[in-house]
Amino acid sequence: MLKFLSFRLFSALLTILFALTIAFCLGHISGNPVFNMLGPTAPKAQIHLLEHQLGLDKSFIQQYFSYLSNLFHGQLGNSIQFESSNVSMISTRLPNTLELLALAMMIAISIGGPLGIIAALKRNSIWDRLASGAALVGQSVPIFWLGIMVILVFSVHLRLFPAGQKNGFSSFVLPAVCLALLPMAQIARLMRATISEVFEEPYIDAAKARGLSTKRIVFGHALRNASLPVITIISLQIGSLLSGAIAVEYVFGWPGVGTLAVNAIQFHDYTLIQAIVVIGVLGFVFINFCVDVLYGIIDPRIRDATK
Amino acid sequence: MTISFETNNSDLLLAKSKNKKWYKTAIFWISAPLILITLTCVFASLLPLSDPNNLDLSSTVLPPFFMHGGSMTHPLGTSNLGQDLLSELIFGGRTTIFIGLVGMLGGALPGILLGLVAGFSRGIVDTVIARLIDAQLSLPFILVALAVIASRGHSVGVILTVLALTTWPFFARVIRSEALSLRERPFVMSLRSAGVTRTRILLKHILPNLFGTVVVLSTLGIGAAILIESAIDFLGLGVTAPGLSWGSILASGQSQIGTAWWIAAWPGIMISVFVLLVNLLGDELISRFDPRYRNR
Repeated sequence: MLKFLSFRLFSALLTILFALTIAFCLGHISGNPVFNMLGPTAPKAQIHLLEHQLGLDKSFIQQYFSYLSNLFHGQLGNSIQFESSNVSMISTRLPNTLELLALAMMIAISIGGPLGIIAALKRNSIWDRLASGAALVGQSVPIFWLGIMVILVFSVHLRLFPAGQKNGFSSFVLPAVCLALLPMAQIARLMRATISEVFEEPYIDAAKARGLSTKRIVFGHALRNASLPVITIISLQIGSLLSGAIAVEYVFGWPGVGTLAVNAIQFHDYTLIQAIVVIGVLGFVFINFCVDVLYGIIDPRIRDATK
Repeated sequence: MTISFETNNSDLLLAKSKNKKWYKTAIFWISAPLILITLTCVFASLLPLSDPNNLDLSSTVLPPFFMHGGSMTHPLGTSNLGQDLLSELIFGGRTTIFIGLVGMLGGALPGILLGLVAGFSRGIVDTVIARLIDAQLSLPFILVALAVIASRGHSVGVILTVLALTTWPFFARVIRSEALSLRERPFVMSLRSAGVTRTRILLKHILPNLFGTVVVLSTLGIGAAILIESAIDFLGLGVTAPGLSWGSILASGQSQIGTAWWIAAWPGIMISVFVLLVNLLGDELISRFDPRYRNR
């Protein structure tokens, strides 16, 4: 188990290093931020001064290593536009984003999971068609458009829920449902596939032969094996969930990290963008590491494979 | 370009299925509207449409024909600047579909190449590419897009680069795992023992075996690219006028959602329908190419 853990930890660290390097390069291929901040007519002396303050006059390699050592000490720099520390700006907004994401994932799992199981048990039934149809539509509708249409129907016309801002539980409903749609569809689709696959296994036939009820076979025998790939997909979807969260937060004016990211881009605040990307990557890799470890605990074959 | 490739390909597939007439297959009924939409958009300038840039301040925010106050001169209504929404949609579709196709190709070529190399060579090369795929997947695509576009400006070239950057790992991941299993198959082993060079095995024997996967991935990739491009345009970071696109029409309608819902509704419907058709086509192609799915 220790060997398994250290192997996973090593590859997680490697992924972080790669992603941080990509984030650093993205910040630099995007041109000299000083020109964007000061405008094209700024005097040369002022440009040099700001470049010096930001450390942009050093060589590329020097900048890369000072960026990494700052990260290692937990420093993500100060925002150029908002003139406060990036860490504090992100940490005040992060809880709002996390609450939204957690609620969306809860909705997605609690509806998508059962829908997939029903679809697998009653293949070609109305539930199966509904689940497959919902999955396809969920993958095709742009999430920001869905947000706008949902606002149109439920806030402008029916006046059931507020259209934006974070203000009590009712304001959570619309953005969380919008955000949940895509992962819900994917979970339902995958659950259907894995349950169908597991039901072909001999041990399910054995359980049927013993006269167990379908309910007991599903929950006692099939679900555990079928949920392993579903967990993997959920962890892989975190990246696209974050992308969706940015769009949804922007549409609903949600005071989270996503709205902050869009604002940072609009003000060409590249240190803030870099900081947000770094936080996103760390969160993603952390979740993946947790899933890997969980996997090893649940399934001994995976744990032993690295020996 | 790719659309015609797909139709040729589906003809080829249709020939294979014996019992069904070509016009009774799902692939025909899915690809026909796709081709129709694409051709309408491509030949937009030949159609009797008003210029989408034509501002007519005497007829702003007209509703579509089926609502009170609407007329058939502007069947889908007009924008807040009096532009005809039907012609805006058709001309906008041209940009969106073009960017979707080229963006997908930009991601597919490096993705397939890197996936092949990684899966076939294994060892340190594979480890590095696999980590690179993970790292790229871990960056939310909107953040990548925003970071690049923020300072490189809004041009079609930049958006294509962003699409290539964000879609290549999806291709690479699938192709890598397929190549990993192909290289262990007896026919590859025997080729290697016969002394055939690695490059030749890759190009002449492994690549043709991945044909089905590549077609399916490319089809699904077009849908993904269109969704990403629309999101970028919607956030106001994409192509701006005169290069209208579905995403930017949608963005212009967002602020008027309370008074003129149709401005935001039409482009969203177009994006959804187009991507839905592309995804359906991808699903149909999977069941054609992969015998494991045939009886499901």
